[in-house]
Amino acid sequence: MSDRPVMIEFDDVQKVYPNGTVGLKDIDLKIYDGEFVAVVGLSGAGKSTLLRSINRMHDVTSGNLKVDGQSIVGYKGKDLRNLRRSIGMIFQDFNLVDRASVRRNVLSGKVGYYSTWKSSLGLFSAEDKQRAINSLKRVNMVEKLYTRVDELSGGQQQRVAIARALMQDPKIMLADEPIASLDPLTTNAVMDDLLSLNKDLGITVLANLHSVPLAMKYADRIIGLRAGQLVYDKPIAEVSEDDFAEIYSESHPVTGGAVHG
Amino acid sequence: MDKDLIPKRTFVQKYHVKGLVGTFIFLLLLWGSAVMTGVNWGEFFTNLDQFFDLLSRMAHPAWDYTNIVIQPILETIQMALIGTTIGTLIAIPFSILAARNLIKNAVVRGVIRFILNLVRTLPDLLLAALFVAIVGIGSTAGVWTLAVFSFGMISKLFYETIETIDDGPLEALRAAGANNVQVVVFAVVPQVLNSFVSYFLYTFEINVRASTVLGYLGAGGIGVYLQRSLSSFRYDQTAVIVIAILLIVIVIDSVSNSLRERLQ
Repeated sequence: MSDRPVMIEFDDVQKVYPNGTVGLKDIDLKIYDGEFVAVVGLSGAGKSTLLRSINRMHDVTSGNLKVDGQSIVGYKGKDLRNLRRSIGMIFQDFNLVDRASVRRNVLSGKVGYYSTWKSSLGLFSAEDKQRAINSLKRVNMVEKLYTRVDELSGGQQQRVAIARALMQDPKIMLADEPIASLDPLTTNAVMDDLLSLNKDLGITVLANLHSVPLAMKYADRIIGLRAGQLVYDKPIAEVSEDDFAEIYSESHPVTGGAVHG
Repeated sequence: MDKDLIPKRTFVQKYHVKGLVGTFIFLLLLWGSAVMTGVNWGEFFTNLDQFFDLLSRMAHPAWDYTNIVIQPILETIQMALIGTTIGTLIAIPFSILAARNLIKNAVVRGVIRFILNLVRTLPDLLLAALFVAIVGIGSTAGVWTLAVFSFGMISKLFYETIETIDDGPLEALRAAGANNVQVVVFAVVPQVLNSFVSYFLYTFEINVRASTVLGYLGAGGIGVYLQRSLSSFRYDQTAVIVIAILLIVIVIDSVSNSLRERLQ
């Protein structure tokens, strides 16, 4: 992978929450352009914090974080919003507006590219309206264009959420437990969608997953977190299922997990 | 049996001490306030004959008065509608600034909420007297009274509604690079719109009722006629006005109730 440019770079990143909880500790990590990286670990290990520090939904306490070569830790206002609109994000609970139509939810992904008044009046360009349809086609949801979101199943909602994120034309897609609220069948549909963004559109994907078999099926590389520390990092070819006992064990202390460069 | 598995209740829980003490304190306060204000139950009942006298005089409404009443009744409804609308429009930005999940700055929120609390402590009759003194007798004073009154009430109902919404879509919009106004327009408004319309109708209902009395202080509407008929002892006219108000309030309540049910 190292022949590709670095997309995301963590340099000695620390995150301590105001209540003293350690979110991230001594994170050094490079994610390359076009990689599909699965992040595994127990609840509370810092997976969400890791993802949210990349689009600055969480601020890091110290250390440097670069996205596409630019340090993002000091971004404010317009710079911060421009960073965020270049990074798509999907969530465990989909985070769609239930009472709005699929179309309006998908178009709302584009507001970062519009002025306040234009977006508030709903003056989206014909091009973006077409883009909304194309994004929905990509996740096979275009027939639900005018349906209200609360009439959709969980799996359908997550795919609408992916379409919304696609509106941003993102370089990076962050997926925070994207399939934790879904049944096994829809899980595969959503993961296949993410995989196609990665393979067909070249979007770098970072996905927090609870399921190791899923991580092994879809990812190019698996990293493991434990108590905020990076304890595992291997390309998929070198991963064996036995590796994960350590990441998921509650009682054993960290015994020097294989950290791969 | 597993009797020892059942947790033991404390003395306070077992004998409902809190509930009993609360009831006792309430009864004590009731008795105390009756004694202090000197409520005389005998007097209350000896004056009943006056009440029946009034009722019998109202029992023959002057139906020809109806034509005169229609215009001020319509004025009352217009006052309520305009006042509620103005109050609501001003309340929207205030309710956004007072909502905990939108404004993280506790100082801004505190100042806004303090203003809202101040406005809410002013009774509508006091406001009416104030606006009659400022803009003079007439329905303009009534409109301003109802605007300020609805502003206080609606902004509280609105910001409490905003605080109950699902924060997920807000997070998603922020993560997509939306600014604060865009977050409100795309993630907050669709979640609260139905409740807002419902509260608007509810306040309108209350204002129609309130505005019937405001005329008493010279703030326009049907209240002016109510006061006039009472002070000239034309209880037959009073009866017509009371019946008209009753009808209007029932109609508006039922229309607004059915609209609000459909919004749920």
